Amino acid sequence: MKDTEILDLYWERNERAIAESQGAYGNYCYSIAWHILYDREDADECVNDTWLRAWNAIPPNRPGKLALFLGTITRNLSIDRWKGRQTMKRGKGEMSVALDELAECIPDAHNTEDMVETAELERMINVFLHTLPEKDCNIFLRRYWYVEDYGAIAERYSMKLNTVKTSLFRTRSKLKNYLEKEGLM
Amino acid sequence: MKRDKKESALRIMEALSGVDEELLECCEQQERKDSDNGKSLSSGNKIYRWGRRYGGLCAACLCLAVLGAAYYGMEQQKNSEADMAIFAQPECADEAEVTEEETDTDDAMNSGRLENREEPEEALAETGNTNDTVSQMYDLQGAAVQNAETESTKELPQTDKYVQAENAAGEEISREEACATEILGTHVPDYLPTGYQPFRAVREAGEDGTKKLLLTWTDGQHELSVKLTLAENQTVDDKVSVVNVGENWESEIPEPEEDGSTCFVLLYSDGVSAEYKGWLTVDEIKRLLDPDAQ
Repeated sequence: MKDTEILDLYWERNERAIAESQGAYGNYCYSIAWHILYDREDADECVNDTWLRAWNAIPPNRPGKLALFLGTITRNLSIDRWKGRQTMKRGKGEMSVALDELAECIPDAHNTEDMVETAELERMINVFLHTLPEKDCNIFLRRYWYVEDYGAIAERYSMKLNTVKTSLFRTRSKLKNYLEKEGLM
Repeated sequence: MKRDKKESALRIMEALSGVDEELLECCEQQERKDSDNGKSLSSGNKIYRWGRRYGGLCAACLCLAVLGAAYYGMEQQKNSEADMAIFAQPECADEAEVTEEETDTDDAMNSGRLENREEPEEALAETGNTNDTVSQMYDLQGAAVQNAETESTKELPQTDKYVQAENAAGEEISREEACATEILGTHVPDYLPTGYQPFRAVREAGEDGTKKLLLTWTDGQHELSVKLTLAENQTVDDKVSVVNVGENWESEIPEPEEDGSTCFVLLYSDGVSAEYKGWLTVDEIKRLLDPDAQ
């Protein structure tokens, strides 16, 4: 079924929309949740919650790319659940490692309270990502949007592990310089 | 401070959810493009893995073969030059006489091969003449070889020029100058490994103006080196492991090679990279490159 047809089901409030979404993008959303949570039950719950959120969001929304829309919902739900798990000191996976890496981009003289609003941060990060070469941008998103590990990224793009590591290191350095220059932090 | 940074990193992670769809779509499309081109992950990976596993070995064998062929060619050329010198046109009377005797020798040798040799004594006399001539030929050959060696030594000044050209790319500097080098100088190690002499520092300048610092220590038997450069200018051999500075980074140091040496690149958080090659233990490497100590 095409995306437009699935969206039409949502707009018609036809519950088949959820089944079709699950059939088309269930694995995709599960993969996103799994990489962040590394727990089957939690990932399943996040995916199920995704359909509920999508049902409530469409309408009035009519996303252009349904896959990315659903994937973003899953990602946000997964991060929230991950934050909750951290308070309970459980869980494993790449999320902690990815966050440690992103922490390198934060200047030393930084206070969380000084950080700009989320919307502004989103906008500036988009501007930054658009300055990157396509390959570096893809690798960065694979690491920090999809939270994939280095080996998976290297395999996905038929690159060598060291190339991926070096690319991410350079991109993080650029992001740090960019954030300092823009005075966001 | 560390918790603040982690919270800020989490905010960046959350902000990434608002990334433009076209960027994410591009991310997906690149993968789809690869699979459409027949580079499917399953079959392509097999060839890729085979290439990774045996590619280095094949490249090494090819290099050895090329070197061997080049060496063999050079030897052949030397020998042919020596041979050419023996049969060169005579420039003096002595050589003319020898040439005549060579002709005689040929005749003598040819006549010696004749089945109908009538007088053994005559044959002995011819052999004596032949021996004298042959010894003269060896003398000539020796002279020709000496001439060839002289020619080769004449090439030395040109070789020196190439050596000078190489040295011109790097200048040896003092420890103080090394430490004073912008950005790279902050990573010059203070630690002197046991048994090693204080380091020798060479500052290299690339064609594009990039600066590199090469530090070398020796204990008389082994040489260890640390090459400092800005990471963006670093060209990393894919066979070399890359380690990022962080907690317990020393646990990522690769195992030593067959000869006992270790080689890897350490990336510092300020954009500098250190390419290490040497025979130190993990503890010694950490003391040498430990960013906390610098």
